[in-house]
Amino acid sequence: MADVVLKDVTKIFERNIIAADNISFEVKDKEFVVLVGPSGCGKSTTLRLIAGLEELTEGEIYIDGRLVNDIPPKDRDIAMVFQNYALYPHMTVYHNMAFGLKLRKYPRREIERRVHEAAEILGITDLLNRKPKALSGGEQQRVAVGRAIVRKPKVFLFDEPLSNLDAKLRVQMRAEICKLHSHLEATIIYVTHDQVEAMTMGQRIVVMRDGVIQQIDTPLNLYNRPANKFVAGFIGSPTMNFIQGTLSKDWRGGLSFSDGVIKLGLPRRHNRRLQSYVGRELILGIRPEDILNPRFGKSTPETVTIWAKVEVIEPMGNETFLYLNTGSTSLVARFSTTKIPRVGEEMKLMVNMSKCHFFDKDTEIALL
Amino acid sequence: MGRFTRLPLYIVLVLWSLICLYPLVWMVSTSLKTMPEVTEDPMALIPKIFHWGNYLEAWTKGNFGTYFKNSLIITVAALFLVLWTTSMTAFAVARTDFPGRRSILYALVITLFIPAEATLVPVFHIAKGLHLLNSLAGIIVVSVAGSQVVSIYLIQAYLRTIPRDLDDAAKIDGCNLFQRYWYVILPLAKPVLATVAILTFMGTWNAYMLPLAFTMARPELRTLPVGLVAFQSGFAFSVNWPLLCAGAAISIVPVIALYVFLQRYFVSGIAAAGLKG
Repeated sequence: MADVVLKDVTKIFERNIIAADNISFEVKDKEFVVLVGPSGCGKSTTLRLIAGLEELTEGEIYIDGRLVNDIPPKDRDIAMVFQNYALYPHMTVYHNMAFGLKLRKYPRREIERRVHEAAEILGITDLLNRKPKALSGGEQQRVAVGRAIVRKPKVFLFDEPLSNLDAKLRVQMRAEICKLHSHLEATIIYVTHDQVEAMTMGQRIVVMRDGVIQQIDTPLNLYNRPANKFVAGFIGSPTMNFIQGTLSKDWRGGLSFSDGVIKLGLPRRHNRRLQSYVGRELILGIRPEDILNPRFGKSTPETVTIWAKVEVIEPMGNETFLYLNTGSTSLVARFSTTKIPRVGEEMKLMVNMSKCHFFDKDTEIALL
Repeated sequence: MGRFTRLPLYIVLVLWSLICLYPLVWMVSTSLKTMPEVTEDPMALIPKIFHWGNYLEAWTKGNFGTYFKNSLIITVAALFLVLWTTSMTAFAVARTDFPGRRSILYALVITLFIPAEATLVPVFHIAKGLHLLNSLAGIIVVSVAGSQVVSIYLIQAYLRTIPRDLDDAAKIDGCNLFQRYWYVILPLAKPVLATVAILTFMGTWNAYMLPLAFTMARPELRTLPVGLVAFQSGFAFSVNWPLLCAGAAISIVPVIALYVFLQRYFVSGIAAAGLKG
């Protein structure tokens, strides 16, 4: 296994489309790193650059300490699993998995041993004589993974491998890929647009947007300390509530945030960091779970009460999402399933200001 | 459609099939008659006695054996060369990235508008200069060249429908350019290769002008269509119809066999190329 290093990697396609803009990050040996972002953010392009399927415009890529810029995909010692699996339709499962080894002129017995070993790990031994079209989506996906692991490459690259599966199977395969990672002790770079996949699978996550890296961090750090408004909104479901407003100082020296209708007092400890924003517009971010149902929680010095009207209720079974309107802005709150108000009801809410985020209105960079 | 609304359709189709089949049946029936029987009642569909000997006679005395051999050599060689060269060109045009590949395709397609008859004379002169006249090799070379554009166009259109990820997977699995063509793309192109095989077979097997022009000086190199016409015009006033029909029947057997065998591919290949057959 090996580490992967990207240094100032840029990819510009025809007609000056910048798919990856000055990308730099490092994937350590045996690490599971997820590249995540909305479609068109350059995450797949970055993966294809690492694989050698696209040519770099600028920058350097190292795999296991070796500069691979001019090395073709087959000599980079990587394996890749594609979104649509890319199994060879005319070959059986066995031959699909054995193909790479045959091309590398492995002895027949070694090929057989490796294919059966991989098939055993993935539970597809019974399918070895079938053609891909006779397999379900989940089985095809396993074969695609099998094709990657028989080669025992230094680095595994996954390009949205679960997005063609149904929701239930996706959750199951998610766990299996994680298991596989610890079993193989492999270096994995995994691309997805699904933030849940990213959060649950990655040891570290690279969030991308418009070809630019927004933040690289552990899943919990991304959630709790997003670097900017984009990351804050992208990670977490339902998404973070954003309210645009102005910061002002009261006669006791405390700071409060107002959008014209609601007014929220800030904990004193934020004073120093936000002092220079007094009188300026900024964006407040509140996670849905930081809007509390007062029928359960007691108010603390760091909670603030607001009033809002319940517009939509989405019961999820284990929790309930409430879509609220304060008169000036819409909010989503995550409540437990009991003591839920009715649609149309005007209700009191408690906002946990100790967990709130602030972003600069122009740069969208996090201020706290 | 209900059973009754379909009925007129079936009647039309059956009548049309009979119209199409009649000349074939007549040909086979005449090939089994004697000459006096033909002159007596040319339209009778069932011969009084089946003279299978006509076929032997056509094969030996009518030289159809030689013509058949010539046709077979030319067709098989052309078939193999066309499939090999055009699939490679189509692969390059459709599945690789090099500057100007679109221009090359357009340039090729434009030549489709020039009828083969218009180029026969220049081709004849070029072949003469290359000492390719009066040889089977010459006919093969010109047939192969003539089949290039249509075949390349059909194959490349089909190859474009194969997902790009397969090339990427093959690259990562360790394929070089030729291995990608040979192990991954070519096996997937079977339907369109079958279409091209049928079109090339029919075109070469039935070709008349080209082999006629190329075998003027050496009748022993004639192909079946040229031989058939020569046989007919050889006896201007008393054409031996049974032998002529036996020769014609011999000439269509391989075509029918091939069509029946590859019909499934023929339809799917044409449809895939976006040309509703």
